[in-house]
Amino acid sequence: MFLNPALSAALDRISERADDIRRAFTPGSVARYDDVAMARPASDFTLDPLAVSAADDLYFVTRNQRGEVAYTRDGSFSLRDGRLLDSEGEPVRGFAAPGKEDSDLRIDAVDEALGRASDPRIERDGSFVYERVTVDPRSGLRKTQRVVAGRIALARFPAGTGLATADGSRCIPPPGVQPQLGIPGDVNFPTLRPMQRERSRIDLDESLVRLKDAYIAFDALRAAEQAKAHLGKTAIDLVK
Amino acid sequence: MSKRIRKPVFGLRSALPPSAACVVANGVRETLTSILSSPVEMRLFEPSIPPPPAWPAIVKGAILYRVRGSIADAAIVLRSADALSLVAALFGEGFVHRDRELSPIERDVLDRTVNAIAAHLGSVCGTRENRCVERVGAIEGYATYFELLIEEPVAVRIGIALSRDPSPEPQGCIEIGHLAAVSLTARATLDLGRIPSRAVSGLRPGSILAFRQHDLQRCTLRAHERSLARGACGVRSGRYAFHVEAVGGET
Repeated sequence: MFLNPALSAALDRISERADDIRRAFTPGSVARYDDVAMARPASDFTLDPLAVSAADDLYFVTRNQRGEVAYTRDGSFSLRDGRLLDSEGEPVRGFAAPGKEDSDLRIDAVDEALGRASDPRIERDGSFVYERVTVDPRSGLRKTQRVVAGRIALARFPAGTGLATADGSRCIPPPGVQPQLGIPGDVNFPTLRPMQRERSRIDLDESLVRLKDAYIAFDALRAAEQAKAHLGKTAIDLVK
Repeated sequence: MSKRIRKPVFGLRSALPPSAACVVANGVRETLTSILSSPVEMRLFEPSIPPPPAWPAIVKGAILYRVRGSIADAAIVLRSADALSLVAALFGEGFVHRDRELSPIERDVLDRTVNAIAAHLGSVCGTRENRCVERVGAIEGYATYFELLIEEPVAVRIGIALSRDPSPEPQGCIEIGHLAAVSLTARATLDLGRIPSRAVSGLRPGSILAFRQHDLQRCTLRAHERSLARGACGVRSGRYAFHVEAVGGET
């Protein structure tokens, strides 16, 4: 710990710049400093059918076991015990049926328990879909049935809302700010891009340059402090 | 990478033929068509043997009825939301409050409907003169499960559990004629009994170990570590030969 506030601040800047570099590898994450932020989102194709990316300024909604709601742009979802989870393992919220309140999205419990659900995926309109095989009792013919477990909820915040984030990925709005909730493909919400994994909004090269600058600034400050201390000591010796 | 590879899943298959479940489904469809006064569209999920951890998910929050049959017991499993939807359809109501209990009248109507449905379970659990349908709080020890999926005029799933999976029917086996062309590596071995260690230690290339005549009578024919026959080996009509005295033996 440094007693000099300038050195402490320089160390904090290094830490924050290093944070930005770490976040550069997290899909959908945003930078702490605007000077390393990218202007528009970009995504890459992936073979994962549970990966989606949303249009700019839209967020996916999650809620943890304590009931705390968070918002993320990371659409790298996965399926565990029939539940659709985000990359942090928190349940993804959506609408199980039109007109219903938002809830955790999940495959039917019996279908999951009996291993009937196959080929889970997320479609352009946010439908969380899986397939199961049924039999027509009249003909005995099997048919693959498409089942919509629900539609993913999207959130949009008022323009200029500053979202707080600890890791760059999960965001929390300021108190009193409520987002507008909707579903992809609705009037005000564009469709999702399936099988796309969003990149972070952080320019890695620029972040590394800024980190190096922060180290240089710290070294310069430290050298100045050392010189200052040396000068003081010399002055005291002369007075003696 | 792991998300692109489907996990292998091993599960027990029910020996209950899907056709038996189809008989039940068709009967239930006819019954519901007459009760609802509307055509019923129905599909079914094939019979399966749920693993033990799946049963709690199947019966969670469900209304259960036990039907005693001559071969096995059956249980009708109606999840509460499905029960509400079914009763609402019976009363001709379009909107269903899913988060509530059934009223006494609704319960009675549901009991009667289930009683009518249970009449079609004979093909899977056997018939009894006095068909007994009773509401139970839990079911235990059930083996087989399949579901009827009503799609129209109301979306309802009716589960049917059976206390016993039918014994698998004997299937045609492979006859020996089908395997006649398969080649085996056979080995004839001689039991020489005891020989002096002097004879063993003196073995060199070119050595000759003399057999006694009766040693040739203790020959065993083996294939892939399995004893095929016992007998005598020797020369017959100018060919080396094995004379079978007994077939089989220890493995």
